[in-house]
Amino acid sequence: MDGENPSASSGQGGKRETIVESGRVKVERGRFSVLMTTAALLVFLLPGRVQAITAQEIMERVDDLWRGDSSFAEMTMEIETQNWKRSLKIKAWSLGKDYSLLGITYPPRERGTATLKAGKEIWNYLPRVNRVIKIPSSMMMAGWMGSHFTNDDLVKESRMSEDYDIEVTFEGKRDGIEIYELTLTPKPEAPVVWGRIDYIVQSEDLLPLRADYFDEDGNLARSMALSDIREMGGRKIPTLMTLVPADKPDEKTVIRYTDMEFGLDLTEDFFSIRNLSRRDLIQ
Amino acid sequence: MTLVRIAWRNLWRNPRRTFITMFSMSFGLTMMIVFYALMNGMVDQMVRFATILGAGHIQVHQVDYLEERSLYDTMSEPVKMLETIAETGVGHAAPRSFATALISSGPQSTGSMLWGIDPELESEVTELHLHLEKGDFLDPDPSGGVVLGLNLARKLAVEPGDEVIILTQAADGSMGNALYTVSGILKSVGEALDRGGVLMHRKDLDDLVYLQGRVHEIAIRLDDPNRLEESTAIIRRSLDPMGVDVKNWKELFPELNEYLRLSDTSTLIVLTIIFAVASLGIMNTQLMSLFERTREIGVMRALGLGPGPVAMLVLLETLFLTLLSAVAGGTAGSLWSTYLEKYGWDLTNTGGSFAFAGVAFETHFRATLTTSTVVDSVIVMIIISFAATLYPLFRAMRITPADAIGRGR
Repeated sequence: MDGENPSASSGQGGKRETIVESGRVKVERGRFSVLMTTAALLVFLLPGRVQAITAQEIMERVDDLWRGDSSFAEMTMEIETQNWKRSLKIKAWSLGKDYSLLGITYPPRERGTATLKAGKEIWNYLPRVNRVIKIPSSMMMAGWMGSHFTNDDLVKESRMSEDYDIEVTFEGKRDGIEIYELTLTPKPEAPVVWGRIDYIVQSEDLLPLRADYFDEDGNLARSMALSDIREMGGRKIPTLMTLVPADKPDEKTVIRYTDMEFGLDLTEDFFSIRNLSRRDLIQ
Repeated sequence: MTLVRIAWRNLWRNPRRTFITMFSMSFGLTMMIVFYALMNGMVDQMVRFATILGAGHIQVHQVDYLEERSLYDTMSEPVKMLETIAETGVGHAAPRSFATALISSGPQSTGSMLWGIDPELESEVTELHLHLEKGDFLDPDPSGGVVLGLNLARKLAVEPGDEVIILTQAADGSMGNALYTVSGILKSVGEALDRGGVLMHRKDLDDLVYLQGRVHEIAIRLDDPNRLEESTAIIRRSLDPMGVDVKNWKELFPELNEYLRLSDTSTLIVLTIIFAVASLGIMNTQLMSLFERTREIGVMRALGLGPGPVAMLVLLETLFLTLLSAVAGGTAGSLWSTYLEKYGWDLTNTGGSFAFAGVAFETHFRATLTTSTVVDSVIVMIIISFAATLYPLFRAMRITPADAIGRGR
């Protein structure tokens, strides 16, 4: 009876089963036929479940891509708006999903400006006035340091696999590359701002290529393209992220990773307001 | 003339009834005048709050500014524009620049709107400098002082002398941040300023956001606010070559203007209702005195008095009643209104402050008494009184000698 479930339910369920068969089963074909049969049987018995885990797994992989348990990164951020263009150099540390510390190292005028994310709180350190201020929840959708990335991105982006229901809505070749298209819809009580996110993930290595963010009315709000896949810190990652707001297509923020390390010896103590204002750390 | 004397004497045949009627009429009139004056006061206060405690009577912007209030929609020649406006001689003008910012004190931080103003010019346009809850207004020279809106100061829990940090994005994209000292806190002047207004010297704001002397707004206070439309046209014409957008407060706050337009009508309706209730007393008095005098009028008719003079008699009685009440009620109403004009009516204890169309109200109402307030009320009273007399009048005219004398004793 369980096996009948997907085909008996909605069209979505039926589609899901096809995807499973064409994907999973094909992968197993090269191995022993016993294994294949077992796998096929498993897939047949629990198709929805297996697929959900797979989609979930893909997203978790994406979530962990730049972070790992702990990480350090150096990057440049280029922000282009209708009125100005500027370039920042940033150092960033992260631990798990709850802690991160970002500091601006260039331009000199803004060197030392730093942001601490601890749990759901964001603090900014302003070296010019030597003060730390907390970013209020009303400012979460404001751009971080004038970029198109929001403060909210810093806090919540890393928990997508927890806050969203993930579904594979397309699998196969698009523009000559085997991809998964994941559609993320917020869980009913998730504290998120997007109405939907479409993620394109490369099938081969599960690296993300593109993400489209839609507002609650289903209108495209912004698009992020990920490219320039390189080996960095012992991992293959996209090192170029380009974020374009949908309402201002001539504006963009580009992040380029220049260095990346994973598995650092960091503890929670590192992510303190005291370290936020340490000038020697962010040089 | 005899009729006049008879009418006058008739009034005092039953002094108690006449006094009661007069009292109810003059009380009605008093209430009318006071209500009218309070409504006028409220309207005046709304316009005052909207204009000289914030917007000014007329504002000049870059054409696109009002749509998005973007930092970049600036006007580059404020000095020339100020001179041009001064030449028209319709009023005073002050330049302003704005920026949204994060303001923070200790663990508290919140979004705010920075108002870069020239304190000296601004004080000729708005009266914000006179509406301070605590502390002092901005120095004429840039000094790193800020004046905060009431609710904003409460939210940040700051007092004059405290330090606030302001973080904002400058026009060149960099993050401007600086420390300022709270020099004063405004009283409640309107939702926007109360909730997030930060007044600072335009020079200080310029240093923070690099506007390089450009401004977002020029606010104008008219010497004669009653000549709003003509003055708007004059300024519009004089600034025409600069291709800017000129709007007066009625265009800036259409909801407020609409409300004011409607309030005149609604006031008149309420006044009519108040007095219509009082006028039932008049009708009652006239009917009663008429029933008492049926026989007497019958005799007068029998002696040759036509229905016309009888009607005149009733009308004269009403006229005397009305005039006496007008004097008494008019005096009482004017005195009461004058008191309310001077001392106001404090409703603070009955419920907090409130706002309409983004304009805050003081819970301390002040009346505005004008000649037309009293005259209009008296006219309404006279019309309604005579309308109330119509039915008794009709009855009086229909009295025939035979019926009247034959009936009763």
